Amino acid sequence: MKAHVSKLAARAGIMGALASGATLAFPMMAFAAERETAGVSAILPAMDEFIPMLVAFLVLLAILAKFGWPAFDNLLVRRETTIRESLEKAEENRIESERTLKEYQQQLADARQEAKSIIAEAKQTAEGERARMTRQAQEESEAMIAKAREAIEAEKKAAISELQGSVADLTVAVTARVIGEDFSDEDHRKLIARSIEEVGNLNA
Amino acid sequence: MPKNRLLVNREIATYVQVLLDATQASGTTFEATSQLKEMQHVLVEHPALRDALRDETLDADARVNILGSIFEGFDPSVLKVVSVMAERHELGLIHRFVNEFQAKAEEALDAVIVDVTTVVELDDALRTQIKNKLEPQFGKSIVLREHIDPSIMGGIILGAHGKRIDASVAKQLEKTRVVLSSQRSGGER
Repeated sequence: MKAHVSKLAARAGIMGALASGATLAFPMMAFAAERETAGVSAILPAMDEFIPMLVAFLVLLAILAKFGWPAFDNLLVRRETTIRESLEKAEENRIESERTLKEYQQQLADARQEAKSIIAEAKQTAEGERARMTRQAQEESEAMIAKAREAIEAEKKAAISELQGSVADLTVAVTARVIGEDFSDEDHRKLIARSIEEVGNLNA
Repeated sequence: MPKNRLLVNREIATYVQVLLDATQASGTTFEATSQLKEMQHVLVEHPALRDALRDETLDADARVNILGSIFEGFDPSVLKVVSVMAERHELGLIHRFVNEFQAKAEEALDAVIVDVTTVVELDDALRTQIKNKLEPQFGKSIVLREHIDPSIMGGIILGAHGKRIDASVAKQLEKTRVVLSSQRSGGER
């Protein structure tokens, strides 16, 4: 890299020298045009002007080679270093960003999975709770119905028992009244005689 | 005052023997058994009468007069013995005394006294039927002690030696009433 930069600098120096030479040559060319008619000597620079200009050029070239090019070279080196470090840093940042992105993506996937698990668990819990409440409500309603049936049955039995008692009392009362009113003494004696026949052993 | 059981038995035996001798002399032993039964029943049913007969301020004649006024027409021997028991605060022994006396009277009469309760008065045919029914059972002659009780509504109740056969209409109706009351209807489970 450094060698490449040095070559570029050398080319730049040659080009500068050519440029300076051209600049110095243009007045002479003008003069040559005026002296076209004077022959080959017309295109050659005047030595009294050419030599000082050449000396000045060489001095300028030496000064630049001594002070300008090292500073320019240092500037390019620093610039190269800065750019390389920036590129390396950018690469590191890119790698870090990709790693962070992967971590985030993994975390997001984990979070989604966890959210799915939580939702599934919540659904399962809710389903279980719903089933439990439904079962409890059903059991309670069945118990209430059974209790109501028992109460109805008890009431029914009580009513039937009361009715039977009333019927029995009425039957006995009617029978007693019929016997008391309709039985003559002779009827009673016939009943007594029949009862005596039916009684068992008094001395058993 | 608590007494020895043997002493109590001896006292009851004394009362029984005294009354038995007196009634045998007068020929009213059987009637005495009936009267004692009736007195026993009245004393059980009326505690105030028992308290009056135990009153310390009354002498023996007053007690006999009270008993005579209540049980008018009863054998004087019966009245006297019961009044003595009352005077000695021994009316609590009346049940054992009556039972013992009836047992002794049956021995003396050589017969079994049977209480017969009916709604109407027995005629001779029924009396004969009862005796013919019971004499083989006891192996002795039967003396009937008849009671009229309209509450039994019909039929007959026989009792002897602490046993009782209730063939009355009232009993039959009560049985019927119990059966009807306890019987479940056909549609019930």
